[in-house]
Amino acid sequence: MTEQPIIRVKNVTYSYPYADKPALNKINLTIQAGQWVAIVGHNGSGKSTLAKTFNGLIEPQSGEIYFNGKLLNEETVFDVRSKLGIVFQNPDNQFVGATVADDVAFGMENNGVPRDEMITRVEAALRQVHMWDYRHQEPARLSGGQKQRVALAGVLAQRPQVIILDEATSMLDPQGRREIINLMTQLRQDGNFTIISITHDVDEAALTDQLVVIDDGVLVNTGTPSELFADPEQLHRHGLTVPLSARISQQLRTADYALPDRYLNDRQLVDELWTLHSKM
Amino acid sequence: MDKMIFGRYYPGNSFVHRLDPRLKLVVNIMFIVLIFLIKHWYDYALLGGVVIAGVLLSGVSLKFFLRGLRPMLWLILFTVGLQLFFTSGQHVYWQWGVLSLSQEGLINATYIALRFLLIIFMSTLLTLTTQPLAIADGMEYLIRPLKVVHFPVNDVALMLSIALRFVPKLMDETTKIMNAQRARGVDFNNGSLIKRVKALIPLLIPLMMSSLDIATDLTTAMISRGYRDGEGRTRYRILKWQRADSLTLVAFVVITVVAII
Ligand SMILES: Nc1ncnc2c1ncn2[C@@H]1O[C@H](COP(=O)(O)OP(=O)(O)OP(=O)(O)O)[C@@H](O)[C@H]1O
Ligand SMILES: [Mg+2]
Repeated sequence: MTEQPIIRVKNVTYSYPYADKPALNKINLTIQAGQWVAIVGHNGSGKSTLAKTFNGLIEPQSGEIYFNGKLLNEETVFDVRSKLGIVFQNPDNQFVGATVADDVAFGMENNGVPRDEMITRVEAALRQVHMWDYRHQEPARLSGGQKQRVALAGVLAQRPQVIILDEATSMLDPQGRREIINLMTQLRQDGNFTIISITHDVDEAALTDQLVVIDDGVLVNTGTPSELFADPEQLHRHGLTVPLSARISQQLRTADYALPDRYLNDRQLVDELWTLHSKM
Repeated sequence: MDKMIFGRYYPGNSFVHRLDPRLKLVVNIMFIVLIFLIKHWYDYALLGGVVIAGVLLSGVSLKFFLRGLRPMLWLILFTVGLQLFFTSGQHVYWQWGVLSLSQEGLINATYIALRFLLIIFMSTLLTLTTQPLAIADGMEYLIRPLKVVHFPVNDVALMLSIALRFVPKLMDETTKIMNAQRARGVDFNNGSLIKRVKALIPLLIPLMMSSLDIATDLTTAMISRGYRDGEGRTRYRILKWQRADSLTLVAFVVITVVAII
């Protein structure tokens, strides 16, 4: 992992027009290729704004963004957009195509991919998210989870290097959420994608390699989930809920119980407790 | 609410359904022009035959065509009435002040009514058998020559197809807001006209806000998927002109020629 980072954010500051304080304040961040990164922070902390700077949807007032070492500017922006796909929060308002297959093709159409190639890629992408059977349907008629899978297929068909999910699971029911998270886990195993999840879901955040904490436009901390969950107080101060299991583990560790140093979800914690118990 | 003009597509797989939307558009345009060129009763009979053939071939029940007439009914009655009572002629059957009923008036009125009927049936045939999106695709092809004068053909076509697709969504949104307002005690159905119009204002503003939200989201999604303008775009969905289309076109041209001569 010593090669150049896939995304490098250098001193980026951005204020929305008429806003009294910046939505992003001197952000510095490096994302390595192949990593799964979660960006967390309370509502309105600037997560979506940050994601939008990555592909030039928003142009920061100062600072630079580098994608694969290349500076993001008017010349490189379309290239970046073809290599960095975003799935947005609201599943309803991101469909352009009239049918599922049409919509998946939209990005490729924009990039002038020849039609024969589009046909194979649409099929491959829809199969990957298990939505091929729905190819002739209107996106509006699908369930929330299915919509997000189609949106993901649209991103996958572009053969991106980076996939950003901006709270893509927040409007879904637990079932739909699980579908998407399972897909992401799978994608991570068999592709060499860099995945950036913007999320409020601690269980999803816990699966990632790197956590980035943002509070009021400032990047306050970054590290592995277990490093950050180890200090629930700090996360709490930035308006984030820490999983109960993490808080309990933390208390137990300070009380000198020999728990492993990584984040444990409920199940894992219970297992560890049984192990401890049997050793007593 | 959702039985509006755009929702009129009647799913099917008939001969007419399978025809190319470009063909159906062109034939419709030719038909309308033709209707205004013909003069004799036998030409009307010929075009009437064409429409009947189309209706039968479409396999769509007649009641859907009659439903297409309904919004135009008053306009038809009004125009026919004008023709009927304000045409002056030699053979006057009845006269009362400026109003008169003459043979010429009767004939004119019949022709006008026939024109309306035939045009409405023909265009209803188009909308019943062609998905809105296919119509938009067809239009894009037909206005393509305008590219020469730098008319943004691709953008307009995309705009059209998105607009068509968002009509049902806006209807949903309207229903949702209406229900929300009803829950707050707004009464949309009773009271004087002014009162009812006033009740629409708290409907329109949220509707406008939510449309803007949808538009913003959609634009963001489109831009981040690399949309710029029409140049250099490729197309996934294409229209395929088939033998049946060529044959239908030839048949229609023959009919046109016969009718005009
Ligand atoms: N289009 C906009 N115009 C003006 N201000 C905006 C706009 N979008 C966001 N903001 C403001 O910028 C700040 C950061 O917003 P952003 O959407 O990036 O937050 P977020 O972390 O994604 O929040 P959430 O978790 O609610 O999605 C907020 O204070 C918000 O009010
Ligand atoms: Mg957000």
